[in-house]
Amino acid sequence: MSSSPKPDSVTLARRRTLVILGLLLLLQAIGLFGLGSSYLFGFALSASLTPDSLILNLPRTLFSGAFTLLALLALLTTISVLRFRRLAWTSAMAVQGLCLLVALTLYLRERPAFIYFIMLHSLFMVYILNLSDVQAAFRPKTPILDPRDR
Amino acid sequence: MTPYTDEALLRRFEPILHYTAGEQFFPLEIEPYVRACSLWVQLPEQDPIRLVPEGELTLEKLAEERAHGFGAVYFLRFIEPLNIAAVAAYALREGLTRKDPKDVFKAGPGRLARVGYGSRFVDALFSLTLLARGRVPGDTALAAAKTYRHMRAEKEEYCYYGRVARRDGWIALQYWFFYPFNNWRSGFVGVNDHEADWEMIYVYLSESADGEVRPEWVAYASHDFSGDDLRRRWDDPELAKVGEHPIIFSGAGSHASYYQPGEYLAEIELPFLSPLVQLVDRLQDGWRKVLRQARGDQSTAVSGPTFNIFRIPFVDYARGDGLVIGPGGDKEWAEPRLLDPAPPWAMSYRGLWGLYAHDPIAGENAPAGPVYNRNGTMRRSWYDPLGWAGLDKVPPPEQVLQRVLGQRAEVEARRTGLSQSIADKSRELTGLEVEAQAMQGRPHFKKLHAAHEEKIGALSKELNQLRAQLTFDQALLDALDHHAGQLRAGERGPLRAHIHRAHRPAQDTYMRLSRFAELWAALSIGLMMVGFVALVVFAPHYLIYGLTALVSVLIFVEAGFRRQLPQLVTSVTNALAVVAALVLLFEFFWEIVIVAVLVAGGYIMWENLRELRG
Repeated sequence: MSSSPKPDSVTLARRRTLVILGLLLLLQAIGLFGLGSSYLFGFALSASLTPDSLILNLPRTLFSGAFTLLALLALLTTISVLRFRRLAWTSAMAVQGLCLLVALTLYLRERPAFIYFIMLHSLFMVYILNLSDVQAAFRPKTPILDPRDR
Repeated sequence: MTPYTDEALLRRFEPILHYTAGEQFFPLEIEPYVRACSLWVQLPEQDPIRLVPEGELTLEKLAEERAHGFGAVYFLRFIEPLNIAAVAAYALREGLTRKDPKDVFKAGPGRLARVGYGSRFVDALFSLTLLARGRVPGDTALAAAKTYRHMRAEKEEYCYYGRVARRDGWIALQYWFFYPFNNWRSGFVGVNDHEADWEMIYVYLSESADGEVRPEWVAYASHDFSGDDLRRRWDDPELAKVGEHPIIFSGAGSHASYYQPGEYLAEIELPFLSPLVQLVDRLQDGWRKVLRQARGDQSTAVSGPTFNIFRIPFVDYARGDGLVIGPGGDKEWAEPRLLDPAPPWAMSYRGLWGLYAHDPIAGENAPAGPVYNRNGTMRRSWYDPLGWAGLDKVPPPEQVLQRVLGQRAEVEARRTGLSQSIADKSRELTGLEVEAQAMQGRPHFKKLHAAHEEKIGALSKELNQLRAQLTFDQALLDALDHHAGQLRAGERGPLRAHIHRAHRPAQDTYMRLSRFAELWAALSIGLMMVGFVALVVFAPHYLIYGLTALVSVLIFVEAGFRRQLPQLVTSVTNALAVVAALVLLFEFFWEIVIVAVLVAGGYIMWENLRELRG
């Protein structure tokens, strides 16, 4: 009977890094989805939700849509991170960039309190994603090096 | 002592020069060049004075002592610019002549397509500075090519100047190549043009007891590189060679020397941009070291030199697809001209070997000779053949083992001395401690006891340092033994451990840019300026939004062309993160301070509690 090879510590560390990152992204996706819904829901409470009212409150509708889309993107990124896809890192960075862009735009307009949480979470995520160890986790395990390199 | 004469040594290892197709100037003897030149002196705030007219200048006259006071700049003038009719006639004749493919240069992907917006903007500024700075007139390169062609037709000969320097067991063969003109800017979209060009390489030999010599290292002079980075070991695969002849791939127009054929991105730093260059370098350094952040995006697995947008990028084409000069090449070398003993023209003439263009950045001024820098001081490559390439710290292979064993003996002797010293001081320390204990509690010993305590403290500290040194020396002895063992087994150590930054040709991904990318790189900065004017004229109320949108679109299109969207996403996100951090800091400054203090307090308590538990 053949036994499966024991995963080395590097592989385990890599897996752990990716799982933590995936969980953080999942948390972000849930938060963004909640924001998108509550933003629209808050608006629906104050006015009837008809196509005309949506157009009349276009900025609010757009921000609500943006949060929902970002939540979806964050969810897809979570899945690709957990499935060890190489593009997941770029995708995660793009999600953070878009979140920060939306938050900064809202900061210039109406400054709702929740944007500071978005900024804080995204800042933390950007820091984590830029760490050398985290970036290394997304690289192929055996990089092809120039033979002239030391 | 080697049985070879200096000339025989130079001939045995003389290099083979591979030029890029389209190169117009090749190494020649200086005598006909000097004869074609006039000698001038430039005194401060005066018009230049001609000292010797063209046709009358000889190497002897060049070497004559001259003293025109402080601030005088001596220079040669090779070319009188052509008049417009002569330029047109020459250009027409050149255009109609059927050329050998080795005489035709095709630029291919340009430098602008290989670098980003910031660099292209700085490059535009650099081009504008050429209008204000002194520079070699535009038709001079054409006139120089014409004159050089005549000289070549009269006597086609390719020669180098050689010198053999013996230092610390090494034999350094120095090869100098003199070119009548450097047309990098006008001929190959490079940084500068100047009359005269001196280029140089070294081949370093070791000598065995029976007098036989063996090549060990070579060092090629090149832009932006110095010391160890210039040097390659003879068995390094990067060094191309035929038999005992190293191959140099010469930069088109610039004549800089490279080990491998290719297109090299050289970076030029302008003096007035130096503070910005240093700032960007420090920020990049802090980004990597202090914040432990990776460089670029996660796909950048191979390390390389850091790119700085405030340095101006230029491509040095060293393709090696043109004329080959040297043993087995298209043309052979003539007899080498020896620079040993140094001839009077080399030692006595400290001036420039071509036009003094009054360029404050100096790129357009001609260089001085093989011995001197432009400012008249001696070149390091002349007076310090080993130190110039960082070889002064490396003993020749025949001496390495002996040096290792010698070093080992020194460390061993130091260790013995240290051991003795530690034993003596240890005895002294215990004696002091015994005395201090005896004095304890007796009032009349109060002062003496305090002095003893102080002495004990100092001696204890000294002993600690000595013991640390002893441990270090033991480890060093082990390392030296191991190294000696490797040397006895014939191992020579890593090939490239001395290189901090290597020359590396442009990668294929950059070479495969499409024609659209090229066109885009050439037009985009101009388009942005046109767009800016259009916004100012037609939509001044939306200037900020419009400009942001314009720049964003241009950048995204560019990133797409260059297959660098991931890097762009990373950069933009990082920039937004910095802005968001500043917003948070602005909005919640005191809250952040309080949280930081609380976290610090909590951490200290946690550490202290852990200590209590432990």
